[in-house]
Amino acid sequence: MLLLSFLLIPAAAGFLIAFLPRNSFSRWVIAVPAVLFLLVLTSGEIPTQVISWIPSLGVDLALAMDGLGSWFALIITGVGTLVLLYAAGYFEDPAKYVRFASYTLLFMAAMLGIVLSANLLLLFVFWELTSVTSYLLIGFYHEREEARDGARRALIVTGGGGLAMLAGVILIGVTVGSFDLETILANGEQIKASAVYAPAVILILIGAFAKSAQYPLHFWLPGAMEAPTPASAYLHSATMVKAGIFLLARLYPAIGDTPIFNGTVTAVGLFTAVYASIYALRQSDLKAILAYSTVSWLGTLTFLIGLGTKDSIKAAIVGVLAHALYKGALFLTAGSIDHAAGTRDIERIGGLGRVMRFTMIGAVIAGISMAGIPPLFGFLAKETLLVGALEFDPIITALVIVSAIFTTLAALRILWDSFAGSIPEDIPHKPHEVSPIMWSAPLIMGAVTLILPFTLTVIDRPVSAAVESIRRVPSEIHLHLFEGINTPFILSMIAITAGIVLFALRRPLINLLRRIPGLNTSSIYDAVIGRALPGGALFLTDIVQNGKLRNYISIIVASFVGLMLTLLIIIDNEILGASDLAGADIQTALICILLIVAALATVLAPTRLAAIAALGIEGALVSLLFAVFGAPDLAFTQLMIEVVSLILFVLAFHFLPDTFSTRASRIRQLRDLTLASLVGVIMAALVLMADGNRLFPSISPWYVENSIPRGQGANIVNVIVIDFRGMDTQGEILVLVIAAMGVVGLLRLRPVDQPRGQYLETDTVSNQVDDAEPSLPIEWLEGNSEEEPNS
Amino acid sequence: MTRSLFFKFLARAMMPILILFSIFFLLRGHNQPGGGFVGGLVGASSIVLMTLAYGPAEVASRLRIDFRRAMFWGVIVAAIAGLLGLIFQSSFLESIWFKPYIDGIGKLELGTPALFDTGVYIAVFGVTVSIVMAMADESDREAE
Repeated sequence: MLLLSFLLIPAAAGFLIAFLPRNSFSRWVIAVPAVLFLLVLTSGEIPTQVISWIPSLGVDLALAMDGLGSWFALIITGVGTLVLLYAAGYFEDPAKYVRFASYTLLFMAAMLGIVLSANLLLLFVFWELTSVTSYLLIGFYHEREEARDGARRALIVTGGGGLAMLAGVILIGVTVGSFDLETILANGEQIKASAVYAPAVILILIGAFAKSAQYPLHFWLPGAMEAPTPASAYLHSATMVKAGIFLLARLYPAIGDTPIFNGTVTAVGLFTAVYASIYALRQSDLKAILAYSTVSWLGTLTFLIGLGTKDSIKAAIVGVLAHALYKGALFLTAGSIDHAAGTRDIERIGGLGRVMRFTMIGAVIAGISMAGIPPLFGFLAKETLLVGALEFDPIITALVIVSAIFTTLAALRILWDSFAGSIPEDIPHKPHEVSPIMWSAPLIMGAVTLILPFTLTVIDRPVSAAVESIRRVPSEIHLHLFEGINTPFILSMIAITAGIVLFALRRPLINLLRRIPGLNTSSIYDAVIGRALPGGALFLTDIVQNGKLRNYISIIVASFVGLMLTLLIIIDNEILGASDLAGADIQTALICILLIVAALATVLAPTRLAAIAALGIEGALVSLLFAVFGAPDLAFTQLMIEVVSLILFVLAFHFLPDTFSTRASRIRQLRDLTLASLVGVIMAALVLMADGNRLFPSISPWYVENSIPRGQGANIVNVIVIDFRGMDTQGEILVLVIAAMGVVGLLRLRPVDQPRGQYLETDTVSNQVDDAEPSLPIEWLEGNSEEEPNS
Repeated sequence: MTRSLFFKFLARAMMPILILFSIFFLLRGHNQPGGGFVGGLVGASSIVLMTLAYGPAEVASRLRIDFRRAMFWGVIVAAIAGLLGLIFQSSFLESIWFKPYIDGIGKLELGTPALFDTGVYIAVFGVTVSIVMAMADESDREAE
């Protein structure tokens, strides 16, 4: 079985349905994830398959499916099938369904890419692709401001985290000398001994924490709830947010098992677990409660990886599946409730159990699983979690129990306040049961949650395989639902009882919690990304790009002078070797003197036409200089450019008064003079330096030798331009075309009746004709002539 | 803008010569001074002369070629020359040569670099004319 097809099938399906007619037939696309699920289920572990991609960078399309990858792939495809099934009922408009399904399938391909990658750089590519598809799904209702903001927030945090992770991955790859996953995992000792280990770990952890919504980077996940509910269920609960957990697990053999890794991961995970489980209670939106409880569970999983023992890793693996099932079902239920009652505010709904029986059955099973009440799968997850935690501090155990109590409380609150009691009078919609397609998906998840604990032998093998691929030692695992009355069981019961007791007191408790400060970090994001960044950009733009061309030129020139002066001061003076100037003949000297005269004439000319003419003479003299030094191509091209730009100058200036009516102030003249002289001096110094210090052999002889044999042309300049350096030329003509588009666009944008020079309202001197400047970037034409390669 | 009769005549007379000259430059460029870039500029100068002599409106109405579109074709032609290299050789822009011997003409040297240079010629031609026409158009509007 070609592993690449696991990625290509959903990606191709995602693109394909976007181009097919959009009708109810589109729903059959759910066959794609269903088939993939069966394929993953039947294929077992698959060794690495490599297709060479960018060998020079060490990036290969290397895919493998080990125990860990296969475990995640099953969840991705399985939950994906149910979510697409549910969405077929959720989106009544086929066009919306197709858009959703298309994004979701593309996401699925990217997510499968993460879990199947056997090359770290490839993994990074897929990692960012999931951020992009997540962005598209959160911004699904792009006409809403909140959706756009949530999407941007998620992209900046997870995508930015991904970049940090890339830096970490590169550090590791450079240390080991390969980005191949197997090589990296096998060389854990070498990585841990290297000096870059600590920075690499921290960078990778930032990426993983951002993706898996760990405090303080968790705030994007509640914001991501603007996505359509099926997307929230799939990406922001069941799969994508677990990518961070997956990465930690995946790289555990390479970077784990050290105080810095395990300490950070455990502490951050535990804090997030407790913080978010309490914070969830402050919310009243069903999806927000579920979002924070997801953050809490992600914290728990992170913390379990951090503990790093066989039991805790086992608990994390089981916990990923348990959470995907119950939280997925609860999210879908929230979508159904929104659909049926017109609101997700838990304080405005109630008594829905009377009308939404089937939805309630699925939700209750999932909720009980979330509360960790036996005999559901969630109970098993909580038991294994406590077993894992008990090996350590009593404080850790206590914190885990606190988080468990609040999770139980949240689950009970969701169930009770939605389904029990009577329907409130002011409910926006008169509730009704949703379509069978919509209640069947959570019901199936609920059924799996209910049946799985009694058929645990089925998952013994995959769980063992997943634990083995993390711990790299053979691990035989047998899961048992009930292991007798032992400490974990008693603690579990305490957590449930405490949860029920607090549930009875929930009203005062929630009011109390809402009053304590939230420690929410999203205000930092708002201040930096929301206000400081655009504010600073505006401020800087106002200074640097105020719409006056002469200021642009001054700034560019001044930056050049500043940078070059610094460079000249920094580098060793010995490099400044004087080159031989004595060789200049009378011809050249004459041209040079004329050049100076023409330059002075340009500056001192009393009228515009005279200035343009002097500039033309200057250009012609430069062409002549080229010709004297044996570069006829360059000379001729330069001359042509001079002619064309002269015409452009005339066209641009002919409607301005002929004489310079107002002279610039003394200070500005002095400033311009200083800048211009500095540029001249620095350029001259650079040319002398370059000529006097050949650090590398010249490449000109190579071109001379190879022009005819390789380029089949005698004109070296031409062979360089169109053959040896053809890619440069390709880029250059593209730039030319873009510049021309800009010029034409700018000239045509101005309405006929609007006087020239009044584009900018802030420009107070715009009415003075002399100050009006041509909106024509003539520089590009002249600038380009310098890019012509010298022969 | 004054439109002198003499200038109009001169521009008309120069136009075919300049166009021929520009193609001559394009073709000889591989072995002697010339090439697509300078060829395109010379070619464009013929249209620029006409624009100065007759005004942009008349040139635009008589000329059937949309230069704003032509400049994109230049980039596309150059890209096709590159893609041919990618498809039939190993990498983008790798040159392919085809040298048939035709009776009466002699040996022809055809290659993708020549096609690429033609793309450069079209792009530079289109860009220059587009900008000058737009500027002249603007000056004309101002004069009215």
